Amino acid sequence: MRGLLADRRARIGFLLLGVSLAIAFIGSLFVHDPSDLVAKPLMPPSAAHWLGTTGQGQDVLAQTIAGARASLTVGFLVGFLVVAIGAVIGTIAGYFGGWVDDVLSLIVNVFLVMPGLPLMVVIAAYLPPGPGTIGFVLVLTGWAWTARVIRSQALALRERDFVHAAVVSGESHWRIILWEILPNMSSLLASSFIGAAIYAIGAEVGLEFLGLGDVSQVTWGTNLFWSANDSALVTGSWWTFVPTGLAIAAVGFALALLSNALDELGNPRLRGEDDFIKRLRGYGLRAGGATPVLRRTPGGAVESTVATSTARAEAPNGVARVPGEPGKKGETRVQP
Amino acid sequence: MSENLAQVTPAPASAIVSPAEQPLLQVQDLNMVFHVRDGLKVQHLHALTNLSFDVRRGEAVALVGESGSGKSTAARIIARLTAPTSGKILLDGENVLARRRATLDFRARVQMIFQDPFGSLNPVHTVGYHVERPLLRHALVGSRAEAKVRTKELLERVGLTPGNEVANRYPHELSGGQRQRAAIARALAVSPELVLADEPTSMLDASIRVGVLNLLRELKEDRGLALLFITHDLASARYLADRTLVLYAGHLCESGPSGQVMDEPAHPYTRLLLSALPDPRRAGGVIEPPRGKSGAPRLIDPAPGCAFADRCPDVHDRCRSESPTMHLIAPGRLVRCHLYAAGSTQRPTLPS
Amino acid sequence: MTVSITTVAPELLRVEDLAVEYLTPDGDVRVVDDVSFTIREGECFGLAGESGSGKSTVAMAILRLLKPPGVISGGRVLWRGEDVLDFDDASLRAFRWREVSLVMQSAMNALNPVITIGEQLCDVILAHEAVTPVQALERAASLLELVNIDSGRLKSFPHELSGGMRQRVVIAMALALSPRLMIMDEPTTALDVVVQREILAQISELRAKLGFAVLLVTHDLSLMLEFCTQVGVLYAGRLAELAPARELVTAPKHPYTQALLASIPDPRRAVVRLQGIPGIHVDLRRPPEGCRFHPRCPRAFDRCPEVRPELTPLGPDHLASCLLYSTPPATTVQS
Repeated sequence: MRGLLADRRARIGFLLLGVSLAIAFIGSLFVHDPSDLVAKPLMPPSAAHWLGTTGQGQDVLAQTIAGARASLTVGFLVGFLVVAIGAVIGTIAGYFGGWVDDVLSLIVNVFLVMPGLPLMVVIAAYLPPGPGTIGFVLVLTGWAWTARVIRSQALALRERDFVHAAVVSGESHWRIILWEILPNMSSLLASSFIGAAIYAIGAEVGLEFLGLGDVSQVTWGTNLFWSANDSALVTGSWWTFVPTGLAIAAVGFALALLSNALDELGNPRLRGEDDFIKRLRGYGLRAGGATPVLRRTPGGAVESTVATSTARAEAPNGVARVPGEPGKKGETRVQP
Repeated sequence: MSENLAQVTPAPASAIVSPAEQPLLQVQDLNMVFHVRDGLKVQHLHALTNLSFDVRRGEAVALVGESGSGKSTAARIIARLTAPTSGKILLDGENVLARRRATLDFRARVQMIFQDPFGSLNPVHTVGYHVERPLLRHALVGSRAEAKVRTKELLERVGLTPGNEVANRYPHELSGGQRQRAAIARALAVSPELVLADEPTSMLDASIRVGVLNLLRELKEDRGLALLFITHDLASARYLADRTLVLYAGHLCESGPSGQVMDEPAHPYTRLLLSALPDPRRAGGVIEPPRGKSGAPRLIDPAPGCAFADRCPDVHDRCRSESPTMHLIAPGRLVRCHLYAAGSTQRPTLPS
Repeated sequence: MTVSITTVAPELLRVEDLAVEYLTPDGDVRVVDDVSFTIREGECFGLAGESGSGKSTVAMAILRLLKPPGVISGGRVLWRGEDVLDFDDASLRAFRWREVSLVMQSAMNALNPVITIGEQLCDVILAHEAVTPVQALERAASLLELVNIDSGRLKSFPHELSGGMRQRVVIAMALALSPRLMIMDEPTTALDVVVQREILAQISELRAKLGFAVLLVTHDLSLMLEFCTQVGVLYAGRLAELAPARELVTAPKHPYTQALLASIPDPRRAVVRLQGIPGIHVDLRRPPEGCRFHPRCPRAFDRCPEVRPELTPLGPDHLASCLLYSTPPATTVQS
């Protein structure tokens, strides 16, 4: 976690996410009830209503915030459930192998093959509309992918010597799965969760925009539905859909930043390489060719150098003279 | 080797055991055939064929062979990580394979150390965790606090001092040799009677290797631990093990006291191996090519006869049609080669 | 009066005070620290060391093939009088493969699995020489024959050959342009002992026939001592000892070399209790002051942590960097 926070992108992501969650859950205390008809419909943003009013005369700001609460809750809950189910099934399949794996993989493959959207439409049509149904449908169509990915990782971890050592120590299967294998998948689980949450928020908004949700509830998707229904584009009332759209984009962006930062956490070499390229550029050299030659002048007097950021002479042979750091290699040498 | 040896026709491995003491471990006719899928065909890979040998209490036995010899497969089977195709594994006379799953008692008696020092420790757990777990699992301690004390003692016993400080470190903070010592401490936690060491020093530097081998030897001596040492390195085998078993293509070729096997190798494969090893005393001389052909043994659908026939400098017609049997050529010395068949006066032509 | 004239082969490669650093975000680490040695024409030179000694780094630095974040931070690499470190890209290209070629560890796994070995050999030849494809193929066939592989195998794919054969193909590729020096970095580590001997015997034969020099980098000291004529032992990025192989075996001078040789069990001899070397490898980010081996050295004394030993000549072609052999200094110079 500490490593994650060291990355600037992760910090921005967390901040953005934190702000969004704060606004969603605390902000609602400061605004009107979103279903209240507060003013004339389709009024542009003003001092009284910062984001204007909808086609029904409701406060857009209140709706955006209420929408955030609903959509984010569904999004994260679905993300969590997808990863939980995927992890259980994927790990069991990967760890036990044999017929257990064959049966579970068959189930996973069936769910993977099922066309998501039509299935969502059909199920949503049969069950009472609402975020709960949408959530259920998303979990049903989304868990299989994560299960697949986690199964591969579990398969690979299963063959590691520390798992064999645990078996030889007499540990039970469950102990090994929970304590030896799962902890080694933490970054995969975290990135799967983020991926699933992004998918869930997007899919949920999409389904509700199509009218498959409960249009009487306030969510980001229904906001967009109503905005379209009230012919926002034709009337030019951009404030009825832009705030919701931006909010979705902001959360998506925050999650993507976190996902990126997590990826790099798992591969620290990438960071080192970028750093190296920057340093070489500072000396007027490029990386990627033959090994560069940097000649350090002996510690003490700093010789004027070729490579300062202002005098960027391209060193043709990959050779540059840089000042040695005084006292850096303060060794005593014996003069024979 | 004198010419007038008592030539006994095929001798079972148990013949060499003194009747008074039953060996701790008896491996009998172990066979392992893997089914390998090659496109639509299923092929049979004979990793081990009729492997039989014993390990006595407090004895260190080396199982030596190159890659493909089956030595690691044998270790995994004995550790009950893999089930063999057929065969028996007797621990104090009782066939442990009769039970489908290994019992906790078996796990307390037979432990294992692995080749990759980093791979055998879970990177997310501290060194202390690895040693405490078996103590807790086998109820060898009454409380977590007691487990920590025992862990400290075990870590110090293997040379990792101060024990409580090392216990708090993670595997990536230790060097290769230290990790291997930690793995040994973990194996010792349950006070096993037999430790299977699968190439424990192959991935360590030469200067560190000897330290770990010395530790194993010490532990064998103070605790009467039996060791089955799997390695491709004949030098380490001789250094640590009392007896050496040479495997080729899943068959036992030769066995006997380590010194004798290395000083007077009987089987042509052993002779080939020994002559191929680098010898610093030949520095400055001409590099001699090996006295025997190189090549991997055919493990998939092997040809009848001796597996080494294609490479053997002393091959005869009989070798290609008939599989050789085990011959007792001296007390405790077994060789599986037609050259030692009863009535045969032929001997390998390679100088030792 | 008899005058004995020893003809010494001309110098091919002279490495002087080579220094290599890795530039990491957490600080710069000096992994090769002022290493110097000479390889003469036709010689077989071995560079031995354990992990972290810098031996592979030195080999790669000579060809300027070090991967990021490695940089060469000092010294000269004189190839027949010219400093490779000053070469421009064109000269480097001519230098690599034509003058000096490289056989890496697991090179046999570096062969392209979807191209026949004949094509791969031809690619190497055609990339450097202006010959027709037909001529290149002829060259490829004769190269295979050089390494005792039937030229019919030109049409084989790498997976159809054994590990040993693949390694021989790689050696053939390394010899394709008749280099004067072949650098081999752990060429036989992944192979079994019999194949290893076969390959090394082959190289020995080829050396006698074609006259190239070899720089062998390996962690296997016994191997190096049997195979090479002149050897260097590296510890923590510095040269501990340089000597003819025979002399290193019979009379090693540096305590590290002595301890290392004493920690290798010999299967042909009765078991003698060996010591190994206590302690752990040097952390190159925070190396010991003075002599880098002193914390583990059984013969360390008071000056060892203060003074860095220089390579001191102890005999013809025999040098060791140990204060036990340095002439006492008049003053210690603090830099």
